[in-house]
Amino acid sequence: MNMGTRIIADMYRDSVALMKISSAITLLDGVSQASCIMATPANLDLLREAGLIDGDPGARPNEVLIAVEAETDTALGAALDAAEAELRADPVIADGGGDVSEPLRSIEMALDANVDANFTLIATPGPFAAAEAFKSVRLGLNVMMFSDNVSIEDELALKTQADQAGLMVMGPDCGTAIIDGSPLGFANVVRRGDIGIVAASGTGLQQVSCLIDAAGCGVSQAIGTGGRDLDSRIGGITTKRAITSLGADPDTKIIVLISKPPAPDVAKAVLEHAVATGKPVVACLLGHTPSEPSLSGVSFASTLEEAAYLAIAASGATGNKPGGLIEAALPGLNADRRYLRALYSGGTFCYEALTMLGGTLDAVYSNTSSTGIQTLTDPWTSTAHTVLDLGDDLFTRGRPHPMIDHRLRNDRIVAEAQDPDTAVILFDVVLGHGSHEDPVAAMAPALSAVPGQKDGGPVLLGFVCGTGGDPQGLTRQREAMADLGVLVADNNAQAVRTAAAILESAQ
Amino acid sequence: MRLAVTDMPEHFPAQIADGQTMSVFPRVINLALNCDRNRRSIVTIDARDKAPLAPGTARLTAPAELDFSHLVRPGTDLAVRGGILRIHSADLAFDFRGAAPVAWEVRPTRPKPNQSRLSTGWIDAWSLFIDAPDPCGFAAALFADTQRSAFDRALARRVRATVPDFMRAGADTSLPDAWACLRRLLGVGLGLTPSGDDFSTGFFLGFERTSHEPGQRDFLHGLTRATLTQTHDSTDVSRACLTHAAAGRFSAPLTGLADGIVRHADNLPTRLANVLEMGHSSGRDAAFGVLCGLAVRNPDLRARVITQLNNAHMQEKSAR
Repeated sequence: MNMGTRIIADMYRDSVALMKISSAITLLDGVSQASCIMATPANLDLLREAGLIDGDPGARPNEVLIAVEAETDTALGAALDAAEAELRADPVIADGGGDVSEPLRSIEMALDANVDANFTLIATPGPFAAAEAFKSVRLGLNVMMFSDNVSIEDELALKTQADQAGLMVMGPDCGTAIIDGSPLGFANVVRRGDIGIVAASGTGLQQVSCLIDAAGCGVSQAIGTGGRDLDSRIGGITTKRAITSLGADPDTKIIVLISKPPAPDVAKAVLEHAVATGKPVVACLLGHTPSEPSLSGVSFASTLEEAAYLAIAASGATGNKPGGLIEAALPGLNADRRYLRALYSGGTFCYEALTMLGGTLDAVYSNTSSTGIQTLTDPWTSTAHTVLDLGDDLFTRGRPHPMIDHRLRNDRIVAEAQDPDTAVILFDVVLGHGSHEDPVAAMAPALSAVPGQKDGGPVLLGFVCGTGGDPQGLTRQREAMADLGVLVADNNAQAVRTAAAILESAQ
Repeated sequence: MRLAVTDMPEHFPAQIADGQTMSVFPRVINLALNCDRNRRSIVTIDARDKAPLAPGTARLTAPAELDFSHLVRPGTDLAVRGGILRIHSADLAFDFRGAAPVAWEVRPTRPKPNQSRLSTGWIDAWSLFIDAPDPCGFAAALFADTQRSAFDRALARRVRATVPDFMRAGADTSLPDAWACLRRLLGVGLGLTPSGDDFSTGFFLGFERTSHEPGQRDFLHGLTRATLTQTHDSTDVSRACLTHAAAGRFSAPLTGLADGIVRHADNLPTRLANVLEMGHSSGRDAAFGVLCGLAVRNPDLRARVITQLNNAHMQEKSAR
């Protein structure tokens, strides 16, 4: 007699079906015994007692085991094949009749077509965004609101409702996130790793994640919260939920918090929440003076560069030590050129520059408010040292963001270069998904039009926020900038320090 | 097609969960839901117009002609979002948003049963059980049959050798002896819920309904705890049922039968029929378990079970 078994994995059949198959196989020519069972250890034991198997066939409880005793090898093989074919026979499935090519016109329709989806990205005009977000939360979906112009009352109601349902609302005005390795909105191609980021600041998140990538480390999740999440009216609802998620995520070993100045009571609550995860925390709350600077488990960073450095160190790698200048020799300044003109596309870069320059340079003006900074009465015209956020609503109304459309900044660069007071023109170039496909090429006409220093022009100083994996190519963009006569820094903090040093050396 | 669920398990993950269909029948689907990283929950969707098969059942009203097995394959991905359960590439969704959560009974305190009434109720139910046509699963061991398959012969031998010892150990509340027997029964039998698991579920219920002394309660507690340590050796669906049983949660038909026997209710035939129609052999195995559990401490009733098993064995032996 020949005995044989076959295991069919992840197969669930009720006893009627198994009995029918066992009976049918037993009736085949040359088969003396056959049995199909769910392969629990107890059933295997019985099959051994019955002499249908010998030893351990290696099957598990949720698998079906076919055991056959037959007169010949041929009959054995045929019986096992027949049993397996019967088990695998598809039930007759009715045609659902749905037209799969039908365009999806609602979140519900999208869910019907993609049953596993658990996340909605909303980028409708602001007035419609809140309604879509409420709908998403009711459908059990997490939300990323790229849209802005959502009222703070709606934001609070939305985040509260989502939080009660165990969901997260990122935004409104959340431009950047990396979820499970997928860049969303403006985000860079960053390698995966053990550093989790929660940021109420898009370009802040981009800068830190890019520096982490440059050091050979990686990001587990990068969660944007929207710029108002740490406002006292919102109370950090999304930030706390994001921290909780990262705390429970086994792939996250370090948590980095990034924001513009938070409400002090909210900052305290958020930091305590982060400490409670038991994981090392790096906090870069720009412009915020912690009430408890020595809070156990939290490393405070004053710049994005320092935040990345601390996170990289906590991850066990070595990054570039913060605080340095660019390696090239600092140029001198021409004639009476004495003022900095910083033209940022990234709002957090602008804010970081202001926090660094506030105590360093006299008479700094901006369209962004910060301690020790004077507000520009006319943002279209620079006054003394001027640091501009060109992504501000004032500049983007009716036109694309300057990370996508460089025309506005190009015009401003040319205008600043023509101002005899302009000593240094500082700017950022942001790479990654969502940004211009070749930003330096787009800026080249303006940068080429700036007279070189030999011709009495100002110093051009810039940096690229990006990674080697970004579609625009980090090295290519940096080299193109250098070819256009731009001093290229590694990051914003280094660029700001360098600008300050150039101005100081000329005095 | 979207079907409205009328009642659902108390802890159904109504917001976000992913999972797969496990087994699909014309009016019933068993689902495995991954509620979070560490928790997997088995839920039964039941569109039959009858009492639920097991704790953890979500029930709904569906068109009479609806046959799930024509719409869904086992092993298909599914997702729960915002109270709606959608099955991948199938024109089928279940809406839980209006469903009432049902808390399942957990060991209420009951008066001590009247022994005389229990005995007469049990004898009536036993007669009905023995006379029920087409015995299968463990119940098949109660009858002589020389035409069994090799597997069924081994199963019958196991039942006849083990169930009597198990009942005696229960009578003595000897946990080591009872567990030694029970572990030989768990996981034994065909199908999604092996007969031994269904029998054990019924036994726990029957024993619980007649246990009022602390020693008896401790014995049952020890036995169910020991059972939970071995559920990894059974199928996912069965593990879920045993976990409910160990926590004192049983399906309505099963508690209806046990309580009907204890009270010697007039409608015992209906109560038994409600149990027998659960699954293929599941109802019969569970009913057998209930009868054994109720009979454990009554020597006369216990003897009836053991004698029936012994007689079947002797008849089979002599026929060979």
